[in-house]
Amino acid sequence: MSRDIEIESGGPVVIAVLSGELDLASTPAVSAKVLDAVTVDTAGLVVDLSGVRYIDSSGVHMLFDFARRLEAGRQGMAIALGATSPIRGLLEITHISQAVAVCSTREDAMSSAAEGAQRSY
Amino acid sequence: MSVAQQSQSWLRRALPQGQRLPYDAWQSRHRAIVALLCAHAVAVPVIAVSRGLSASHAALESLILPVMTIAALAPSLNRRARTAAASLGLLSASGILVHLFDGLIEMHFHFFVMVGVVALYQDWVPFLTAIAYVLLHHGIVGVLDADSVYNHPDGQDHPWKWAAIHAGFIGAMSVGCLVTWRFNENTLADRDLAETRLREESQITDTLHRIGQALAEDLETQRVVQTVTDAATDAVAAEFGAFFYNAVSEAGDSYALYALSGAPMDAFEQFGLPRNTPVFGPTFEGEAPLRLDDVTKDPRFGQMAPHFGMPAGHLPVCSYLAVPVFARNGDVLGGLFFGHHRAAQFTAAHERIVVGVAAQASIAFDNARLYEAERHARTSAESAGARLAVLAEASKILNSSLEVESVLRDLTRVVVPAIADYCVLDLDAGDGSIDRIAAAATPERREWSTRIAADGAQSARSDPLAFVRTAIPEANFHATVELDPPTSAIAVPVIGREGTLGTLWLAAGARSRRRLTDADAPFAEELGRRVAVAVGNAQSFARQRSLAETLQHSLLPDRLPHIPGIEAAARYVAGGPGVEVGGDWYDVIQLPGGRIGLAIGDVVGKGEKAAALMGHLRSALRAYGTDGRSPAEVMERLNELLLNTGPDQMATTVYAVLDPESGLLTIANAGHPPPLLASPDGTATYLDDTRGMPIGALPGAHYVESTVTISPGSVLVMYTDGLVEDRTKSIDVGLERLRSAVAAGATDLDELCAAVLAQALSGRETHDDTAVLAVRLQLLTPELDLRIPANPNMLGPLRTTMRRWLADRGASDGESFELLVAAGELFTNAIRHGKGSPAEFDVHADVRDGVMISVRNLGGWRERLGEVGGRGLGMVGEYTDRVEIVRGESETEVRMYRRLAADAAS
Repeated sequence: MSRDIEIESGGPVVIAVLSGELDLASTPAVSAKVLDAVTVDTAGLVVDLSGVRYIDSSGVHMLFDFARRLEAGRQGMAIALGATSPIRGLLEITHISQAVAVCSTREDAMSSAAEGAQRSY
Repeated sequence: MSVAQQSQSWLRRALPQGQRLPYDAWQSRHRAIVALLCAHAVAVPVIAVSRGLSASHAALESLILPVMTIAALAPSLNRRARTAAASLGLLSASGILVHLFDGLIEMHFHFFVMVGVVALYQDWVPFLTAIAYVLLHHGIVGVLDADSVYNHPDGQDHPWKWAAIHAGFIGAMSVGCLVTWRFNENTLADRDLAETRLREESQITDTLHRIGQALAEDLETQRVVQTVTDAATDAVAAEFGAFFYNAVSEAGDSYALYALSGAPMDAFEQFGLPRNTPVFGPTFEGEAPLRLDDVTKDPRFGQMAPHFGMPAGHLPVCSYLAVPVFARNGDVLGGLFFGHHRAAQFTAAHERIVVGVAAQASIAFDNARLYEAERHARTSAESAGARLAVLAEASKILNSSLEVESVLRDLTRVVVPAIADYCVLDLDAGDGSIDRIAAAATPERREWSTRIAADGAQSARSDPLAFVRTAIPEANFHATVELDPPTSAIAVPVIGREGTLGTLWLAAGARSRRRLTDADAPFAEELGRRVAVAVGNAQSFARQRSLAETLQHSLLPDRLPHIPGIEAAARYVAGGPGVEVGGDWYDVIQLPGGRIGLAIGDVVGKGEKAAALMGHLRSALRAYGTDGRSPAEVMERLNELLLNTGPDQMATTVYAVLDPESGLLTIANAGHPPPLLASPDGTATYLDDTRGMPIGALPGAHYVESTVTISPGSVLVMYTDGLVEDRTKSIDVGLERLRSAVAAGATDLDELCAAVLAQALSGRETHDDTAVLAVRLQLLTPELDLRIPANPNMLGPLRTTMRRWLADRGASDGESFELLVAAGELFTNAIRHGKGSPAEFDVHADVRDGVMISVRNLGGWRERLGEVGGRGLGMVGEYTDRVEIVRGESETEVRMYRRLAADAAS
């Protein structure tokens, strides 16, 4: 659902602020929007899940997809997520945290994503 | 005439009629005469004594006087005998006085005086008595004692000669008296005659006056004639009287009996029409009144075959009186005839009365004829007026509604029986057959409609009468036709803009005796024209309406979205017959975050335009709502949208957002009837805290939201004004009726909608289109069963419902998240791999071993849960205590169990 995503693509790092619930119904649109915003010039991607209340396997799959694509483009990616969010557990269970940095603040995530991109080069 | 006859008749005229005095006149005269006799009875003896007779002789001489006095007074004697006694007494006194004075000639004068006195009796008797007395007395006494009678020698020598002479004088005197008396009598008779005539005249005048009055009050010919006949029959004391109307036919001799008095009408009916006999006929030619003392003795009577007089069985007529009745222009209208079985019953006075009556009757007849002519003219005018009225009424009916069939049925009922006895309206069905749209017939004003073969009706157009007689297939109509066979008919085509639409038939039945003629054609054509206009309008309306209806139905939700945890039902009823489609709409929208948008609205206006605008608004509201805008924001945006769309476009709307988790309902109302909230406890309240301007009314309008927290099980009813507005009642009545209907409402929301609609719209002929939407926040029991369509959009609300349920079970936020993640994998799996049409799955939750959530669906179970290589299965395993997979023949059930911290604590 379009409302569930806000994209900030002014700088080298694209920030996708997601909110609401990420499930089978909403992820395709979110995924498309985020991938639209990411170009070859994009240094990195921050996916802010702080406002997300729920995420299911299709959402997790979407995050893995982002990570794979960005890695292929030698771009960095980080996830911003509140320290107390229940989603943290889920990200650990699904081992996404091993592939993508999960930061507590957007700023951390931004620098992490930029770093990641530099590291790739 | 012989001399004897002549003198006899002269004598009859000259001599008094011998009409005796009236009794009281005689009595007074007799009394005076007897008094005179008494005086003589006293005076004569005294004179006798003075003449030297002894007292006894004197008494004896005058004995006859008291005797006669007594006789004259004797009541046992009749008037004539007493007259004779008094006369004889007075003459005897004269005789005695002549004796006492020895025949002194001057004493004989006493006789003449006495004759003069008894002449007062005006009777023959005293005269005859006097003549006889003088003759016998002078003769007999003259022979026996001549000196005592005559004092002259010749008398004494020839007593009988002088007796005759004296009697002759008495006779001459009597004649003199008689002549005088006759003259008196004539004078008296003249006066009597004059009086009688006067009396008769006044009687006639009176009779005529009465008749005249009766006639003046009546303008109905038949009654005028009857009045005349009755009055005249009465006035002339006839046994019967009749008026025959001079209706001379081509055969020349027919007179119609118009009125009969004194005998029943059937006394003449058997004789047929009277004929122009020599007696009867002349009256109708206007000859002078004919008055016969005995009609059968008239030379003209009985001259004509076959009856030679009156036919057998005719009322006996002897006295006959016939008087012609003229019209003012001199034509003979007819004749008045009177009869009596006795001879000579009708007098000249009677004749004059009848002549007078006839004169008056002719005036009355003329008046009546004029009146009838005028009334006829008025009736024609009235019938023209009736036609106009029927046309006006027809137009009213034709314009009253756009439901062709009912309108045309009403129309035939107006035409029958005002104008015709049958009215049939056939419309070409367009497929070669005819729709008998409407038909009516007297006397029962039967109605029928049917479908008949076109060729039958087509060929019948050339012979409408035959058509009406035979071409109507229904059995009951055949019965009607037999009862009242059509005798004349008119058929006119109903021609619309695109050609002939059908045929209008009018027919007159035998019973009503009316005839439909060419004169009725303009009326029928006009009616046909109006029907054509109405049919054309209705057809084009029906096209438009179906277009708008299609549009509207396509714009309304096909069916409400299935939202787990929310029950919803809606009904839309198009307006009544002839009411254009309106712009009512409703919507149930799934919003982000599991919230539900509820909308209802009503575009001001009707028809396609309103329906189209409705569609526009519905889409816009859906977009704004889905975008997560608050109700007030949505209204403000819709308001701007409508103002920018075009002028004069307005709508009333309620938009509410329900958060099922918290039960918070946020409402914005733009001039719409307030939603009704029915709580599970049976109370129902209108949510009418805030009501703003209708959208499209005012630029920059702001809307205020009101919120209410609704408990699970509550029903929110939203509706359009058609549900509560009845032109005949206050809206409060409608609101109260709805409130009680919802409060007592059915548990099933579909039933509830049907019930409130039925209650609001029943008994109303027309109503606007009406929409009603009922939504319930489902009460979640510990054992929860949901059937969910296999649609990713179901996941959000399903989670919301499960979240509510878990919260009710005491799950913490973390537990709730984890369980929803685990369950979500099951749901997603069911959506992805479910089979069936429509594909759906059942969710069951209960509190066995903590909480148990199961998903059952058709089709097999994928061991590899989820897309991402067991990632989903791992998530389920991670967040649950255990998972069971139960495989059925065609379906699979996956159950997941988890103990909650709250369960462990308790």
